[in-house]
Amino acid sequence: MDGVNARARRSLGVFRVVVLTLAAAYFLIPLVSMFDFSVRFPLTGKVDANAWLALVAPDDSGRLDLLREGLFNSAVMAVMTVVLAVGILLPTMVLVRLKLPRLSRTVEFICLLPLTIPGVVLVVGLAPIYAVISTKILDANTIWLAFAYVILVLPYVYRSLDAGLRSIDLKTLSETARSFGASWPTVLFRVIVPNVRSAIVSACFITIAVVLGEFTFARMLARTNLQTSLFQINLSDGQVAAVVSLLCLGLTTLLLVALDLVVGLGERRRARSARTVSQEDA
Amino acid sequence: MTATASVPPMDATGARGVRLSHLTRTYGAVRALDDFSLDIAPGELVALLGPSGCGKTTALRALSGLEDVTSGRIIVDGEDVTAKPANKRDMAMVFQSYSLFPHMTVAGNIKFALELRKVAGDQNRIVADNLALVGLDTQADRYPHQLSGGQQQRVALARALAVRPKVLLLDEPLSALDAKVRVQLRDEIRRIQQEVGITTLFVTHDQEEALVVADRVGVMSNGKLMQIGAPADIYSRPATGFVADFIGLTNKLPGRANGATASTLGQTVPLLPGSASGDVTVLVRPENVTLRADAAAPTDRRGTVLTTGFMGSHAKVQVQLPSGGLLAAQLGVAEASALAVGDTVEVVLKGVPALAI
Repeated sequence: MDGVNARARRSLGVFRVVVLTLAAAYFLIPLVSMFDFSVRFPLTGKVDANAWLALVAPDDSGRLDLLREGLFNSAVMAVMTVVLAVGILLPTMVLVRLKLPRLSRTVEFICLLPLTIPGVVLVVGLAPIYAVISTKILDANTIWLAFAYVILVLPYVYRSLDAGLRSIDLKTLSETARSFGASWPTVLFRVIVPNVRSAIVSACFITIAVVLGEFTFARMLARTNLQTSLFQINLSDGQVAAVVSLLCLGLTTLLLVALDLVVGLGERRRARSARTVSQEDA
Repeated sequence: MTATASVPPMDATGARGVRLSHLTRTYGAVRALDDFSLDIAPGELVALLGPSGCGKTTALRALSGLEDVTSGRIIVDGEDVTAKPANKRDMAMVFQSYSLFPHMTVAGNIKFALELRKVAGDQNRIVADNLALVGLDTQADRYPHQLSGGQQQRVALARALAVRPKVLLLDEPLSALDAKVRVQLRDEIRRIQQEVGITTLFVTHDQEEALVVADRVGVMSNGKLMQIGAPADIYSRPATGFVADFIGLTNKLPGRANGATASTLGQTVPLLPGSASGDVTVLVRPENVTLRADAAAPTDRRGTVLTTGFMGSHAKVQVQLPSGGLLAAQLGVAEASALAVGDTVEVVLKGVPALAI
């Protein structure tokens, strides 16, 4: 019996190693190739750091300005999208769960709808709206694309918040707070938000990732964001575009890891205090 | 039982208690509350008791403001609060499910309530005093997930008491607890309520809980208050068959009522006021039945022991009647141990007034 279990454990271990190796290869080979491309001149095969140094060297071509503009626009839009998407969806979902549960299916359907519509089709619908926004309501600034991105990230934000709200007894917590005299904003910000913090952070993660990687809307509506600027640079210098892509990927990963650490810190502290108390009890 | 529309008279301390006057709450065709009226005197603990869906929780939620009423008035301390939202009513509630805020410590939960209610004074002192009241003064720094269910409900009670509300609302606060903790906390709730003297509405479906804890018990059915009175009155003088059936065990014996008495099982028993007459069902409590081992007992009062069950302080004996019906008797342990399954017994009804329906 023990021999059978040991064999099963060994097979499982081998299976895990194989899966992890394949996954690592899937993710790392393109990155390594990109790095290789950024340092090896395609025609001669000569290895140098010129493409990397070009980012800090004086530049007359204007491509760094374009990159800065794209990066700035994407960063601003990421913040705007996070604020708008979470700011609109969280109170709506709380309201629907507490007061209008019959509407929950409808809200879910509306929020998941963008998943089923290709980006190109969405742009076709949004183009006339943005024509009006650019000429009559606001202006042609790229950052107003954040409104369209809110639609784009709705399914992901909805799913994250939905999981968070399902994990707490929303009705009892809000009714308890209400019975002690809390206004609805107090219920939302001091009772619900702290208890779905992880869900909000994961909604932010995915929103930032989507906005930083978005190309179709910006390209088709002739706006400049990070991805369109990379595309432009790629047309003139593929190596610099590869460098910037790698840096963006690294920065985004660092940002998400930092956010995860910040959120995890509080939870780990709480878990540690729980362990300390159990040890005291023992 | 039915309240008048006027405001309850003021007591010596200036408090006027609670009046729920002709409340109706409908959900489509369903009437969760149907012309429901109830007065609660200052410092009194009233328990609303009834089966699931009888409207007891709706009545409590209507009083708290968490549920709107279709019609009727709610008067607290002389003020009509019917149109006031929940957060503007000076009440505090303990829920059936654990309702502590998970991201706050025990002390944080109480302080948050004090902050919301703008309670003046030394908050640390108030927290400590109220935790001491429920015996959890050493747990102030723990988080809810570090407490047992009973401890969580104690903290919820301490939090509710800390804000010194006009009315304390308890919505089946013991239902989620195991039997031993439930009894312990039930007794504590009664002790604390009497110590603090707070007007309290307690909703439960557990009749024993209601009878032990309350000054008065209201029995509800289909959104209506069927009867309200002191626990002993509700138990010994039920006004309707529903109340008699719902509170405690009741034997339903066929009989014939004639004025103030009824004959059943070949015996005569006095009847409670409000009993029906003619061919009736006489409702007799198991403790008002005695059994004598007697093989030669008259046929109309004879029975055969079906089961005996030891209940600790007493025993339950089930008897098969010649008519095919079953009868339950509550006997002393010594009496019951003298009987064996299959024994023929004489059923004797004590002369305690019973209800005939």
